[in-house]
Amino acid sequence: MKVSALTILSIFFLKISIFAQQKESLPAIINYLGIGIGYNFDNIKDSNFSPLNQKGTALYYSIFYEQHSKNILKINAKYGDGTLNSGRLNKLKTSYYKANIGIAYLKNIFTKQQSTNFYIGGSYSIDILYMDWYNQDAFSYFSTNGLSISAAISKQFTAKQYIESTISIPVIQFLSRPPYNGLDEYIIENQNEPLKIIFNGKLASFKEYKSINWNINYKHEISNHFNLKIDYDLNIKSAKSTHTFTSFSNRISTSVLYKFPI
Amino acid sequence: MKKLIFFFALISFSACTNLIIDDDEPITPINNFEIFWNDFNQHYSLFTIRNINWNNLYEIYRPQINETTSDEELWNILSNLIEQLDDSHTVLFDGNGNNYHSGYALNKQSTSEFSKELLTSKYLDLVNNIPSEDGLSFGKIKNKNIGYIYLGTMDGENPSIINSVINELKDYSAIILDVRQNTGGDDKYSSKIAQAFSDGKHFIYTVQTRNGINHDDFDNKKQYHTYPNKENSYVKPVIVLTDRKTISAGEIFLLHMKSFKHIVQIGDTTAGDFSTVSNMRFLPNSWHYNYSIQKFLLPNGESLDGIGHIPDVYTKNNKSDITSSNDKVIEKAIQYLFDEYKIE
Repeated sequence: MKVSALTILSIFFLKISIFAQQKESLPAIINYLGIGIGYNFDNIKDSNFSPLNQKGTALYYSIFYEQHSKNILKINAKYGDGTLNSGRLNKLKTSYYKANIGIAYLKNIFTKQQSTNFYIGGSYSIDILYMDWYNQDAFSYFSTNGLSISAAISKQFTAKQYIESTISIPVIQFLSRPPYNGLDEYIIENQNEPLKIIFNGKLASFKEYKSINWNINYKHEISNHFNLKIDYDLNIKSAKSTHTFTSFSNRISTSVLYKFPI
Repeated sequence: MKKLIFFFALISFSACTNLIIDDDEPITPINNFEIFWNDFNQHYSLFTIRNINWNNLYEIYRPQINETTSDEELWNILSNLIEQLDDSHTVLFDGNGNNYHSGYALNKQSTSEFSKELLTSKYLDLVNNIPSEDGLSFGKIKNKNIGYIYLGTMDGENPSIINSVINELKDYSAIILDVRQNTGGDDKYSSKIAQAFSDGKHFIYTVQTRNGINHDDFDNKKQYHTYPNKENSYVKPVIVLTDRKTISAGEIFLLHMKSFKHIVQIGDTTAGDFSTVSNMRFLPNSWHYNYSIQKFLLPNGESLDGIGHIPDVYTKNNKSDITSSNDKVIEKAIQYLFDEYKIE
């Protein structure tokens, strides 16, 4: 199964490479390098971890690169941590950590009135949620890696104002979860090498794992080289892997982008 | 207008959350009991081994709870319920510093039947503490050709330090290895310490983890063996001292040690709690708990869970022995070495 996933990944990146070569014929390539900060508002129910609903907020940091021409290439890394509350009087407090690394490519399929563009594309991402109650007296994690398909629309309102919205649905995802009792020989043996655990997931889309991501962002050019961006992200996850997992997350973030043409 | 949009957005997101995330568990005494009982029913590993009829216990304790049951009453009911398991790996916590260990009365009593200060002042010479290893020290018995090691936990950082300890004690005719009040820890640590006394490879036990909703659903047996020590093992007579609080990885240590021919156990029966404990589990009222999730079997298929390691020579202190500055257990070990091996 992993061999076929590797084949699909190879095709995906080959496609990106071809698209990248096609860009050479385009007139303008604009690059953005950005850093951002934001807040995540999370509602999580992980039956592996607890029968209780968990609510929490996490401070989020991101670093990203975007290349806009006719098509769009995005590479990003995000990290956030915070505290989840549950139980009577919210007395049960759990540390949680979220991380995401992703690459996405959006191909322009249609342009309307020179300012509105429609895209379809795909992305590969690694997504990790880790919960830890009092030095691993209880822990759980939810880790996925794999491909998503995306559709996006963008509009250049004025020379300085730009809005973009993207919706993504994971289609080939490998899901990694601990057992209910927390005891797993593979996890114990590899607890100092978390990447091994993350990449030991099993193919879960769509039967056992479903998710949807929606992003809308507004970009304002504040100088020739700097833009300000505000993002809103909505993420919904649902998994039925031995014990159910659902999460509903909102994130609001702002970032500064350094703009540089090639 | 902007405020109105914000308000409607807030309502929409809140409604979406409720659609996707199930309603939270009600914080009622009955629901707390039901979650607690069901979680044990589906995941606790020792119902059969400990001959517990969990359904019968439901019939006894569930009718004692209604919607007006107070926290104190519920605490007593849940404590009484898990007491039936007689498994000190099963613990209920209220989050305010109170906890209830199932089957812990004898373990608790044994803490007053042991004094490390008494040992050091009356029975031991040349005592060295190992800084890196919490609870590991060694020395010799006063005026005797007998080495002494105390091991209070299996949670150290560097178990191979035991080879240096053995090197220090190798010239003594015997060693008394004291694991009374050993609080357990890491089974691998136990295995490494025991290896310093190994006389070869022996099949010693199997472990299975519960993995299904039926009380007898377990994964495949994983076999554990002792292995010869890479360095020189200590194979002269070794007396292992135990009491009721020698527990968990401390008892795994004994599974290793008792397979060697030159080992004799003297003291009280151990706790009889071998399994690794579960992740902490949570109740709507913010209480939390854990329990045993494995079963350990001897090569012949029998279990020592709920029984413990029965000593080759039974003896124990009581509180008055300690207050009158006598440790009958170590005295018995010294006498045994003289009677059996003429070591003094």
